[in-house]
This record gives sequence, structure tokens and C-alpha cells, in this order.
Amino acid sequence: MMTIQASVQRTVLAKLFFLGLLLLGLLLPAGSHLQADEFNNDGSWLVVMHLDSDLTTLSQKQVMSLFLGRAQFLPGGSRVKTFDFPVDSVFRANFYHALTGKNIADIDAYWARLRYSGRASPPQVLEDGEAIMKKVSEHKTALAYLPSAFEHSLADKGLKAVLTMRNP
Amino acid sequence: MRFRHLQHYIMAIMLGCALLLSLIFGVIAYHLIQRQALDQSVELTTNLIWAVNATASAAVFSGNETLGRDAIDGLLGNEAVYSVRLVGFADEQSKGMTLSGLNKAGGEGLDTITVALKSPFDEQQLGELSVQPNADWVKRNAMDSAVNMIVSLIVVIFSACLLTAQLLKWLLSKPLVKVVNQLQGIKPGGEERLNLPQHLKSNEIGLLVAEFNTMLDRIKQAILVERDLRQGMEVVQANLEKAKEVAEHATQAKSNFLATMSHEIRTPMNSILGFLELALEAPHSDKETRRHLQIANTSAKFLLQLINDILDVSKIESGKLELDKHSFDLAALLAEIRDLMEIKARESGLQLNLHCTEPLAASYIADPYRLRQILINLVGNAIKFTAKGSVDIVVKRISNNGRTSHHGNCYEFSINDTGIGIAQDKIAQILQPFTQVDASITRQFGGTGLGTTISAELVQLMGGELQIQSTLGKGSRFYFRIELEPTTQVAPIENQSNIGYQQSKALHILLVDDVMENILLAKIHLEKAGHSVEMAQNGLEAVAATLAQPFDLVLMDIQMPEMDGYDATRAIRQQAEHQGHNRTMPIVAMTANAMKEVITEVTAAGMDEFIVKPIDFSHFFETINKVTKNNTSVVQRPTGAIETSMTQVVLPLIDFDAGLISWLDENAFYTALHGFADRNQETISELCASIGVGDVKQTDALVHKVKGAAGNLRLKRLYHSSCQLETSVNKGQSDTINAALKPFVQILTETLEVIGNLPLTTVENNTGTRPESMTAEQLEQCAQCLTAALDACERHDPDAAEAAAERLAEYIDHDQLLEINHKLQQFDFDAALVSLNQLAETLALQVSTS
Repeated sequence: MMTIQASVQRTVLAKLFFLGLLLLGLLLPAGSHLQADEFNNDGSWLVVMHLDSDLTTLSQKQVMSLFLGRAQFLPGGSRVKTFDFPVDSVFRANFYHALTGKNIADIDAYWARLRYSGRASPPQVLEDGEAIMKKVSEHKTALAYLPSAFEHSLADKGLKAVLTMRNP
Repeated sequence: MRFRHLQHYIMAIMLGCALLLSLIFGVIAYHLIQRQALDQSVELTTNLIWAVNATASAAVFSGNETLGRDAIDGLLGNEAVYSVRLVGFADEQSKGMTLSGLNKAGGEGLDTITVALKSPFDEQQLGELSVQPNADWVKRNAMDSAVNMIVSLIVVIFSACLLTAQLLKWLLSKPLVKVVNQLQGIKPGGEERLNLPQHLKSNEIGLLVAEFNTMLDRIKQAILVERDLRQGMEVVQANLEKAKEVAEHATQAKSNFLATMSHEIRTPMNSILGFLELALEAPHSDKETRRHLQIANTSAKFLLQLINDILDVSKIESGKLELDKHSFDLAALLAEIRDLMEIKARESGLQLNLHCTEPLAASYIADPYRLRQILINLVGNAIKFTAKGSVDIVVKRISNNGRTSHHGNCYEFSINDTGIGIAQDKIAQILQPFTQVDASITRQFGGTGLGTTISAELVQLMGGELQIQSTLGKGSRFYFRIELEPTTQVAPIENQSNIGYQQSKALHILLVDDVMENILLAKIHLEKAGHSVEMAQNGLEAVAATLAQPFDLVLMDIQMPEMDGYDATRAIRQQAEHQGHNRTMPIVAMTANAMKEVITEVTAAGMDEFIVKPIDFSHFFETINKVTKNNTSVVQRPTGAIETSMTQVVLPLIDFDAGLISWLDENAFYTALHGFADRNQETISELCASIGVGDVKQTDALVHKVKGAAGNLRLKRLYHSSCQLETSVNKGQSDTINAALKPFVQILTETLEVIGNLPLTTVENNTGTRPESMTAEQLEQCAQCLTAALDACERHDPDAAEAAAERLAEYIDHDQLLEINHKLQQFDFDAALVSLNQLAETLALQVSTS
């Protein structure tokens, strides 16, 4: 099953990659100000957890509920701890877009409403991928996302991907 | 009613309509608005739901109850929401939640609106939001809207009304008021016209004004036409007035002329009558002259009567005739008229009856002289137009409604005859002056036709009306009704016809008159009575004469040259006062003009009495006696006395005309007269004796005997006097007997004296014999002439008859011829025929008429 899934993922990723290149080629002259690390993003996202976590995979819906505050507990029953890129980072906008199909403004508006009620518990914001990887590696119930570029370095850091998302 | 502007009416009506409409619209609008408000509330609620949808979704997604509560509170913060219910479904990631809330303001819920709540990030339904709109809000909102709408509606409608009213005022009222103001300044027939501004000329007001202007023009034309007509009328009226004035003037002139003429004629008549009377009383005149004088006397009296009638008519026409009312004895008056007219009736072979069924009062107030005149006229007429039968005088007292009555003061006098009668269509003409039924009547019966006219006018003056009923050939009835008021005043004794030639003493009299004949006549009468007479021909001479010597009496004419009677009298009175002698010298005026003003002036000038010309000598001497006996006498009842002397028929002592007619033979008449004188020499003493012892029967017998004989012998004055005496004897009152006896004795004495002067037989006696010298041929011609005269009389041809009579006179000389001529001159053909036939008989001539 994994193989089939992987082969499907592979073909999909290949197509995405090709499209991503195409988009990049189109966007490049405008987004010349983008940081060097962002160039590595091909639009695919890795939802990562501590390598030791009982969970192996999470559905996109589960990931969404966990990141957007609907669910506070992992399927195992432990309280989740989510981490986020900085508010104005391109990673964050792209990830949520990939996750929900909504603009980052809608996501922010959502969080603003919740924050207004005083009961909001949005993901903790960390400065970059390194900091995120460090935090996730420190906590067993931590949950975060990374661009696919970090795929190769996950295991080194004691992380594992529970979900891989391709940008539509 | 109070004035109200048209625009106010219109405005009031419009406002009323507007109010009604607003009300109806309001109700309808309220319902519409309510429905709309319901829809609105749903829409609003839906909108509100959508507004909180994101929050609610977020709340349900995150299971955040605080946020859910916030969303519910947000919804309930709106009035339009009644209740909210938020449900989050439970699933593996969320335990779900149910939140609800009610609006604190309360109200009522409507149908619930439920919206599914989806996840903010995908299409998964996470819960639902149920909201009930608030019915109260809907109502309140609907009410507010409705009120707003109605207020706006009313404002709009009212504004429209005001605007319309203002427009109407501007379009209708103002022009109309303008027209009215102009109308007030317009006079019918004037040049002004109504004016309107151009913009108003094309509508109804313009039409009205135009029509009104047209009407004004028509009125002006009508006024012009009317003015023309009026001017025409004025001209016609002026002409008519002028014509009327001319006519009135002519009538006045006629009346004046008649009065003047009557007056002028009476003056010479005075002397004619006077001298004729003198000549008749002269003892030495032969029979033929006496006959001539007799005829002249009769004609003159007739003429005088005629003139009196004419004078009366002119007086009546000029309204100068006035009644002189005083007390009188009606019974005596009727008896007097009966006695007076009985002689005339007997001459015509008629019977005159007096029927007076009423008990009459002792005296009445009226004008007896005029009443007598009326009755004498009517009776005279009746006798004149009646050939045979009778004439009745009937006096009845009647009530106001015309029936016979014993109460009231209305009397009906009727004179009925059995004469020729009057045709129905001619009755009205009778009362016209100078009119008889037709011309042939005038020829047949003579007369002027004035009698009935005067009578009718007099009756009218007395307050009655002379009416006539007549059947042609059967007779006539003249009657009138007048009021006679009975009075307790004693009626004065009527003036008796006593000629007082005897005078206690001879008087020295001055006669003043410019007409010599008048002086001579009066002088003869006065000297005969034993007075001495001086003469003066005008006022100046009279004054001079009285200055030279005093007189016992002055007889003064009024109208004289040099100085008239008034001035002369004043001068005499003045000088007498100056000299202080003969202060009471009586002056008696003689005037032919018996008008009231003249009488007044006579008295004012200081004259004691007056005598009306032509002089009635009995009255003349009476007046002289009165004045000379009582120098301080004043004029009493002047008008009455005058009217009497003018209208009374002066009775002759012996009526030779009538005597000869009934006696035919003068010898026989004279013999009868002498016989009467012989028989009655002792009558006076016998009468006095019988009265003295109070033997009424004997007295009555004596008087009756004298009366009968006097009637037969045509001793008219004696007959009249004896009638009065007989009446008083029958009444049995000694004072009235004595009053009546005195004139009776006087007249009887006088009559006997006159008869004594008459010759025993006539000087020449050729009556009844045919002249010896007449040949057969002459006799033949005589007969022819006689026949011609008879024929002419039959034809009523006076000229031929007179010619024939003249030729007859060539052959025969007979008294009867004079008689016949006299009759012809009076156009009395019937009488002439009788006389001619008698003449033929006495001449023993055979005449045959066609």
C-alpha cells in the first residue's frame, strides 16, 4: 500500500515539481527579494513530529484541526503542541494555503476572532525552520510543518514526517 | 347670508376629500407596510445571520463557547431578533456545543430561520444557527412607516389642496371679483363696458363678460328706444294738455258767455215784464190790446224762465251752484206744487194726484227752493208729454236697500205719467243739456230740454240720482232718492204772495239806475203805490241828490257808469256820518247778478237789502216795507231769498190765457168773473166770522167754494192762496190759519178790485159770427186757407202754417187767429189744430184735411 501510495505521490510530486518550476519561472522576476532558503521550496510541505511519537501518519483533516485549534489532543490522547513559522513568512502563508485552500488573511482573521474571545491558543511562533526542528525534537507531542526541502535532514534531527502535502 | 369666497368652498370640499382619502390610504398602506416589514425583518435577520456567520463558524469550529456567546449577543443586540440558538455538532474532534439566547427587550418570535454552519476552511457542516425575528419590531417598524407615510400623504394632499385653491382664486375668484367691481361702476345705458385681461377672454368668464357686454348694448338700445318713446309721449301729452286747456277755456268761456248773456237779457226783460204787467192792469185798454199784451206777457215769462234755466245750467257747469239748506215744511211744499201744477194739468185734461203715504215730520232740513224747482220741472214735463190719463206724484220713505220702509231719512220722489214715454235707447240722452228725444219732439212739444238736465244736476247736488223708467207709448217714471233730515226747528212761513200796494205812509224815494226803462217801470209802480220818486242816473248824481235832501229810501243799481252802486253807497254813508243826519237812511240794491259774491259785497258796502232784477213787485214792496219799517234790518238769508225770486213762478192775478182757453168765449169769461165778484163781496166778512167762532166746517166750506171758483176762473194767485188756507184750516191750527188768512183776504180783495175794473162785456162782439160783407167767393178762399193751415199743422210745418194763417187774416178778423199764431210761434201744432178746428166750426166752414 505504501508503495502504491508512494508511486502515486511520486508522480504527483513530479507533476507538482514541473508546475512549481514553471510558476517559479514566472514569479522569479517579481519575487527576486525572496530569501535564499525560500528558493528551495517546491510547494510541498512536510508535517513533522518527534521521531519517537506513536503516530506515523495524520490525515490532512486531522492536521488542519490540530493546527487551527479545533483539536487540542492527538489521536493518542495526548495534548498537542504546535509550532508555526513567523506570521509574515512566505512558508506560513503557503503552508496554510496548501492545508486549507484559504488565503493567509482568512487564517489570520480566524485567529483574530478567537484571540478576541480571549481563549485562543494559536501555534507557537518560532523564528525559522531550524528553531522549529529543534523544538519538535525536544517534545514528543510537538507538531510542526516544514518545506519539503527539509526532508533529508529530518531523520538527523530526530524527526519524522507524518504527512506530506503538495501545493495544489 | 354671509358672503363666502368661492375658493373657500372649493378648499373646504377638497380638504374633506383629502382627509377621507388619507384615512383610506393609511389603512391600506399600514397593511402593505406590515407585510413589507415582515419581509424586511426576515431579510434583516438573514443579513444579520450572515454577518455573524464567520464568527459563529469560528466558534463552532474551535468549540469556543465564548466566541459563540459573542456571536449570539451580537445578534440579540439587534431589535429585530427575538431569539438565537447556536448548535455545534459533536464529532471525533469536537465535543459539540449548544448555546441559545432571548432578546432582553422581549417580544414575540416569528418563524425560525435556520442556517447551517460550515467549517471556515472546508465544506463540512459543523452546526447550525437558528434565529427567530421579533414580531414586535415588525409591528413597530410597520407602524412607524405607516405613520410617516400617512403624514407625508396628508402633507402632500393638503399642499395640493391649498395650491388648487390658490389657483382657483387666481383663475376664478379674482377675475369674478374684478368683474363685479367693474359691474358696480356700470350704469344702464352708459358707455362703460366690462374689461378683462387677454388671458381670461378665452374661457367661460370671458364668455360671460362678452355676453354681459352684449346685454348692456341691448339695454342701451332699449333705453334709447324708450327715451324716444317717452319724448314722443311727452310731446303728445303736451299737445293733449294744450288741447285740454283750450277745451277747458272754451267751456269756461261758454259758461261765462251764458251767464253774461243771461244777465244782459234779464235787464231788458225786467222792463218788458214790468211794463206788460202795468199795461195789463190798466183798466182802459180794449179787449184786443189786452189779448196782445197777454200773449206778450206769456212769451216774456216763458223767455224769462228759459233764461233762468240757462243761467242755472251755466252755474251748475261752472260749479257755482250751492244748496241753501234750512228747515222747511215738506207737506206744505208738496201741497203747493200740487196746487200749482193742478191748474196746468186740468188745462190739458189730466188728473194730478199726490200720493204721500208717509206721515211727514213737521220740518226737514234741505233746500226747499231747489226741491220745488226739481219737482215743478218734472211734473211740468210729465204734463207736457201726457195727452190723457194722469200724472202722479208719489213720495215714499225707503230704506237704504231700496225697499219701502218706515224708518230712516231716505225719501223717494217719483213722478209717474201715462204719456208718450221714451225709447229705451234714448233715456240716457234725456239728461244731456239741450236734448230732447228727437227733433220732432221739439217741434211737437216745444221746450229747451233744460228742465230735466237741471233737475238731474240738482238731485245730484242733493246726493241722489235722477233715474228714469219708461215704456214707449205707455208712460214714464222719473224718480230720485234723497236724504231728508227731519228737524225740530220750526219751518218759517213761506213767503206769501202779498202785493202790498197799500203803504202806511207815502215815502220819498230816490231811484238810481242808468237804464231809463228800469227807472220808469219802478217809478210807475212806486207812484201808483203813492210814493214820491226822484231819479238819478249814476252814483255821482245819487250822492249829489242825497246831499241836497234826505230820502226815506234809496233804490240803487249796482252797475252804473261814472260811479257804481257800491261806491255811491259808501260815499252816502260817509257823508251821512260826516253831517250827522239821517244816519239810518236805508239803501236797497238792485242787481241782475244774484251771485253770492255780489250779495256779500252789497252787504259790505253798507246796503240794507237787495232786490233781484227783473223785479218781482210783490217781493219788491215787501222788501221796501221791511226796510222802511225796520231801519236796522240786516240781510237775512240773502241767497235763499234771491233764489226764490228767481225760480218761483210768479202767479198772475187773473190768467187770461188759460181762462180764455177753457171758457173759449171772452164774454162768457168776463161775465163769469163779474158773477164771481158779486157772489164773493161778503165772503171775507163771512169767513172772518166763521173763523172767529171756530166753525171749521163752515170755514172749510167757504174756502173750498172760493178755491173751486178761483180754479175755474183761472184766478191763479187766489187759487193758490185758498189752497194754502184750506190746508191750514184742515190742520186746525189757529196761528197757521191766521197766517194764511191774511194774504188770502188781501188777494181776494185785490182780485175783486181788478174784476171790478174789467168791462162788463167786450167792446166789439164779432165772435161766432161770420162777417156779413163776405162773399161766397171770399168764403171759399177763406176755407182754402184754413185747410192749408190745417194741413201745414198736420205736417208740423210752421212756415206754411203761418203763411196760411196770414192769408186767413185778410178775410177774417178774429181773436182766435191771434191765438193760433201764438200757438204756431210756440210750435204747439196740436193746440193750433184744435184752435183751427174750433175756428172752422164757428165760421161754419167745411174744411177737409188730407
